[in-house]
Amino acid sequence: MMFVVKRLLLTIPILILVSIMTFSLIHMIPGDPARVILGQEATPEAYEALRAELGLDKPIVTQYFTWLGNVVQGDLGMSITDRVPVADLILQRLPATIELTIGTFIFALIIAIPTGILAAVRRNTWIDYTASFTALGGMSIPNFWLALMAIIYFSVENQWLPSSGYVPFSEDPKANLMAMLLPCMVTGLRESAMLMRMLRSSLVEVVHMDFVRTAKAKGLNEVRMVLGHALRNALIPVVTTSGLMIAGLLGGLVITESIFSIPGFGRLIVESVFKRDYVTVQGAILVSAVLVVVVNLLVDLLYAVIDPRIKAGKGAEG
Amino acid sequence: MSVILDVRNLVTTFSTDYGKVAVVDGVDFVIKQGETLGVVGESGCGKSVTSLSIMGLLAQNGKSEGEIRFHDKNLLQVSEKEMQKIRGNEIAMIFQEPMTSLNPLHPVGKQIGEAVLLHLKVSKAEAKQRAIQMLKAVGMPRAEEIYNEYPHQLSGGMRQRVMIAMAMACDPKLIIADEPTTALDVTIQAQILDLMQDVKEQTGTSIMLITHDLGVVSEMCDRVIVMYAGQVVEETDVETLFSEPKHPYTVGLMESIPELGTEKEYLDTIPGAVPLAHQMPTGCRFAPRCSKVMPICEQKQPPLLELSNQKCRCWLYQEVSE
Repeated sequence: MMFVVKRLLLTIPILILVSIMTFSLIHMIPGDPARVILGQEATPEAYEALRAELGLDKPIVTQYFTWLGNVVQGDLGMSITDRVPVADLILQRLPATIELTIGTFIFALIIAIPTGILAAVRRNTWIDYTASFTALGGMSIPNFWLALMAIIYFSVENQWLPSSGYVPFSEDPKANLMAMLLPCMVTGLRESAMLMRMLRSSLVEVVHMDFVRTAKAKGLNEVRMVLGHALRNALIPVVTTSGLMIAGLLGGLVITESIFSIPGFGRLIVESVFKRDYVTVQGAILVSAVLVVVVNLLVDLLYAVIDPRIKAGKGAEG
Repeated sequence: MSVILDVRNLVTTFSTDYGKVAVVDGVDFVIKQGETLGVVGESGCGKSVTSLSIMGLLAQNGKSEGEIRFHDKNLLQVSEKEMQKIRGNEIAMIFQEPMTSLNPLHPVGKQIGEAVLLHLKVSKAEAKQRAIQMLKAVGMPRAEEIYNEYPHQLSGGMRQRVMIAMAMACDPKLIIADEPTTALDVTIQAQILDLMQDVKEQTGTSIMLITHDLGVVSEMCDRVIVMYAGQVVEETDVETLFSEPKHPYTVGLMESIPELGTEKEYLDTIPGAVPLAHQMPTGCRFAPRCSKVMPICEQKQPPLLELSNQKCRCWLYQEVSE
């Protein structure tokens, strides 16, 4: 319990740092939201008036603290371009991305765990070579290309799955799942490559350890030896990679979201950057940072669940 | 006493970068019911590979030929499935490294109970009871608590006790102990040896004790085989081994033991090192290091000669045996 509290306290300086960095970055990019909203032909008076309304005429430090003060109270501000609370925008967009991330992760695990185990146990056989070759391909193929090919095959030629048409899960669960299946498969396939290679190399090391030989000397068959004794010992690097992967997916699914027309969180950030809607960008990046911190915390807790030697506060700083 | 394990002309080869290399080359021995057979030799002489061959636990590039007769089966010819029924059940093994031989992520009790659950037709609760009983039998205090503890919470000596409990759990007919005390400090070594002696007396199981420590041999063993470079060079009962060792290698081993009360500035050593498995001499494998080497030694390999009290692989005794 102490460990969780300590980790949570540690996230505060991280989040403050993230807020300062995003706040300064967006103000360093050339371009001015007032200009974007009004267009090039606006009069200087109208321009100055809008700047004052948005608070852009105040010193940047004042702007930061005003914003931070509101954030602490749960107010992420109003979107400059859309004139709606940023929090609402994020809440609209986040569920789709979270769903996409979970689906991607599940697909990645379904592919990576069996192939990783097989490749490790049948090391240097055709199974291993095929798995490694496919994984290398999976990592090298650009995601957008794979997505387009999947759309051509599954949606255009065979009409098995829709290529777009996202609806929230709460409105129509079946349509939602149908629309999410293809994007999850495509990104899952790609992400599985890394997990599979991680699991393979970690397991190859573990199956040569003394305690696996002990398990065999007890009379266990290969399946029980690998699944019962070796696999769990090989999981730590896989959990680490999974954590990084999930954190990356939460903010980085822009391409998938764009190709499959999913109104996701990644697209919100990119669109807001183009519109110079810095209030939304700040809010979204802060939320994304919080998500990363939470995922990392869960990963650390999972370490201790997997390995009893990792006790709270010791060896779990990673 | 009936013979429970009969190893005949065991040859274990490994495919390596140097081609096929025989690490164990024509080894014969028997283990009788209730006896402790010591297998002695320096590192790399093939002791451990012999034991792994019996258990069928060789690495993928290893292969055994010959015959390993256990009861009425040749272990080299039984299926993997049948071998799984023998391992841990009829033949159990204790490994050298208690620190790494236990799974760090499972409580030790579960690891003991696992073999029980696998081989004996018992319920989970009964397997747990058996594991606790075994922990008590190997002298663990607070056995019920230790059942739930993880290997990292135990000391090296306690972990080796767990290994012994695990090996004994299914009442095996033969326990193969590969240097069970080497990784432990001296006081713990004595405790573990006493424990193994007790186990043997209580259960009547046979033990194949692999060691390079002649002190352990004198304390524990009934008979001894001395191995050198993948071959048995001398086989005898333990008294004869210490009173009249015959093979120059055995004699060398005896002389390299420090003795209390004798003033020696340096210990006697055997010069040189064990030849590499892919560069074996054509004649006697010990010839390059032997102080009594003769011309014939470098040309022809000596057979394992039958002497009055022992067997010995050395040309020195050819006339005696004829």
